[in-house]
Amino acid sequence: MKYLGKKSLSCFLSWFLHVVWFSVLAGFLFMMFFLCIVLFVEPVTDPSATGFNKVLYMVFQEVGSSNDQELYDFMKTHVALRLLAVSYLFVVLGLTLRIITKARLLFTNFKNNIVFSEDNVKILSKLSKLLIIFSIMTFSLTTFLLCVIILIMTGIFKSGASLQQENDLTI
Amino acid sequence: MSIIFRLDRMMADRKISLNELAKRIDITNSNLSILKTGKARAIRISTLEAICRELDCQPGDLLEYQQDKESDTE
Repeated sequence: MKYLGKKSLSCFLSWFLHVVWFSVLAGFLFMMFFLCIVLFVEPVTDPSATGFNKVLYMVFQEVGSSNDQELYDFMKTHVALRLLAVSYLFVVLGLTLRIITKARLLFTNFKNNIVFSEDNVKILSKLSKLLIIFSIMTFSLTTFLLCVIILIMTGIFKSGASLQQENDLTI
Repeated sequence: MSIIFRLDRMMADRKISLNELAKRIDITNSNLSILKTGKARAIRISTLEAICRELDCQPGDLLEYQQDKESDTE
């Protein structure tokens, strides 16, 4: 199996992360739209409503049939708390998209046979920093461990980039 | 850098162009340009040998040591 270059695992991952980026964006925006309606709009109970109110009615019908007690309880909390929850989700979305973008850039470089370069060191360094923030925000130990591994890899790539530069400048 | 590669001077003396020399010693123009501008970190013995052969000179004619200004003041 090829790991670098055209028609390799890196090529597939680069393409896959491209798809994931758009999927995450679409999924999150849809979820946020749904959540914002549920949390901040007055419930529409009139079945004869038209236009956007019809959409709102359908959304609230869906929420009503789900029997999600936690969501019901959360809908009754203070508006500031709900705003905080929505902003937290937006920050997590932003971080997720940024992490995917950085990973995609890295695999695109691998696809183009650019392995030990300063660019990749910068990408890995930024990726590890983003993952630290992400792991703290989501209380994920697995992500934190992954971040530690990426930090070590950054050091390895830094040494590799230095050796590569040395080799490139040896005529 | 203390070691200066006097390739440009030797090429001018022998009236040979960068492209022509690159072709003769079988390295790319960009690599020869790196050598000429002094950006190279190291030079292979085989490359030095090929340059000396084509320019009909000694390695000492190509390399020159100049003391750094900083070490002068010390």
